Amino acid sequence: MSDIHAYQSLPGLRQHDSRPAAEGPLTMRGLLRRPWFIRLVAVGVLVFIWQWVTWVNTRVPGIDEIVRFMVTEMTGGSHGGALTGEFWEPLSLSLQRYAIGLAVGIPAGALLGLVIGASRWARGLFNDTVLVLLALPAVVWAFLASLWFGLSSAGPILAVILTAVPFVAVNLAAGVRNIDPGLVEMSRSYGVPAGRRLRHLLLGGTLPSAFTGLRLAFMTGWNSLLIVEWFGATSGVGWRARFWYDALRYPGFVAWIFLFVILITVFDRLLLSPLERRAFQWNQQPTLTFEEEL
Amino acid sequence: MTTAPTVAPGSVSALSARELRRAAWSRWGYRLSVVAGWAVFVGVWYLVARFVFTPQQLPQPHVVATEAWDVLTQRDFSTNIQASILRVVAGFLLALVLSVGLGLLIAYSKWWRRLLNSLLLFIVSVPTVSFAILSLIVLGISPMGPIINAMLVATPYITMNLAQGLTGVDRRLIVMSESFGRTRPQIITGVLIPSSLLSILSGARLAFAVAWRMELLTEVFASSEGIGFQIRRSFESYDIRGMLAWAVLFIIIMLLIENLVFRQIERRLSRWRSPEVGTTQ
Repeated sequence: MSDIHAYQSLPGLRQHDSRPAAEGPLTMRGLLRRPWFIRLVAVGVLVFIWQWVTWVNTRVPGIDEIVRFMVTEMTGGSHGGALTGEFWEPLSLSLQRYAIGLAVGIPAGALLGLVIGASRWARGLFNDTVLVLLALPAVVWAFLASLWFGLSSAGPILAVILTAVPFVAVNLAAGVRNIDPGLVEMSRSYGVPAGRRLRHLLLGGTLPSAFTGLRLAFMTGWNSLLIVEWFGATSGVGWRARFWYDALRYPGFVAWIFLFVILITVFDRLLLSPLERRAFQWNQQPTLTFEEEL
Repeated sequence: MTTAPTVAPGSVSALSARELRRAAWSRWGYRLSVVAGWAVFVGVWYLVARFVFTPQQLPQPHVVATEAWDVLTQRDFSTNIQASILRVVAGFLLALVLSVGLGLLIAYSKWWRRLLNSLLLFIVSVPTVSFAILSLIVLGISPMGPIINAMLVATPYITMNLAQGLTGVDRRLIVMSESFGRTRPQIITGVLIPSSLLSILSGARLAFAVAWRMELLTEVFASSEGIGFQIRRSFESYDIRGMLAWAVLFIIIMLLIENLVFRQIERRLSRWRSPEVGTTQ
């Protein structure tokens, strides 16, 4: 049981290159190598793959249909018949649940992680339990939560909490255990005050793994929120996607699924990445894992 | 890596005896706390099942254990397990083949590295449930859904680790092989891949765990057999006992594969490497 470390780290999956991009004169060759151009190519590849799938399989809606549907949904227009678009209501409800779940789950996981990391006894006591929680697939949590709490908001919130806690705990515990004991000893013998020790050693030493845990908690929490809402809710974004799926309106269904992806990506770019960059300002390690020159 | 404490000759035996005792005590204390941890886990489960929920909402641990045993000895267990394992292995092998190609591209060209970096990061950040649901309409209820999804989520992990391993290969080895007139395919198969094997393996382990969960999730949505389908069926018939039993089996299978397959391969590989590490010190 000691080694399900599988979920605690995404090796080499940090994205920002902290080095400034080379700004040479704009030649054709230089343009092809610009980061934004490469990102554009990446988006193009994804769009092409989707279009190819729509040619092969007629059930799959094209991107134009999806966009048109989403616009109707967002503006609250008519989808034909009595069906009107609903967008902000399910979205805000889901985001509320997500925020509450994370606001409870992340501090709880952090506390647990600190205790496990700091004390050997606590590690023996809690480590395997946390690993079991980690190994349990999110869909099982989701099903349990929806059977226990019915169609209320409690199910989704509990599922977010339960998936967030072990990810934060495992990563923070690993971070605490990786603090250099030599540094701790040195700071103690030089009489560094406890407050500064806490700030520089504990915070500085655990930040990288804390961010890994935070990221995973955000990602997996969103994932299990969607699963609970799909199977056991009558409100929220997951339910809305299910609604269009059951109504055999595939453009709507796919539109919402794309929205899930866009939301979490935007969230990651706008909130987590800047935060991470700020936190690592003092410690400019190259976070892009591949060495630039081979 | 052993450090010899420098103490006066007379006090060595007394000191080391005390230290040994303390080490033994702390080792046993740790084992004790692990056992206590399991006891607490099971005890809390019992208490919650007894006082918070009805037996139907949360069955007691021994009930789940006997149910898991029943499932295991039942006839439909083998077909479901077989289906799930075959699919995840197929997806995983496809991912492995794909990753070798992508990893080589990443290691050789900066442009491809940037492009694949953003694409693979995107795949990792997509909520897995989106893949599961999308396979419902793209592929319908078919065994292809779990296989392709397992491949999709496993590929980034293997590729990234492979590329990391390849970029970490000792450049002098490559230069030497080149000056001895080896061709590029020869260098790839003879130098690059063997020296990054351990890195590939750690990626593969992670990838397999991720693929196994993705496979389960896809089966929940779009399958007519397999562990995921059984969990969903239990959910729909309000059979929490069966659901937990299947979940326990799911975890046990994952642990078995980790320990019996990946750990063994790793041991063999590191046995081959360890003398080298010893001589560099």
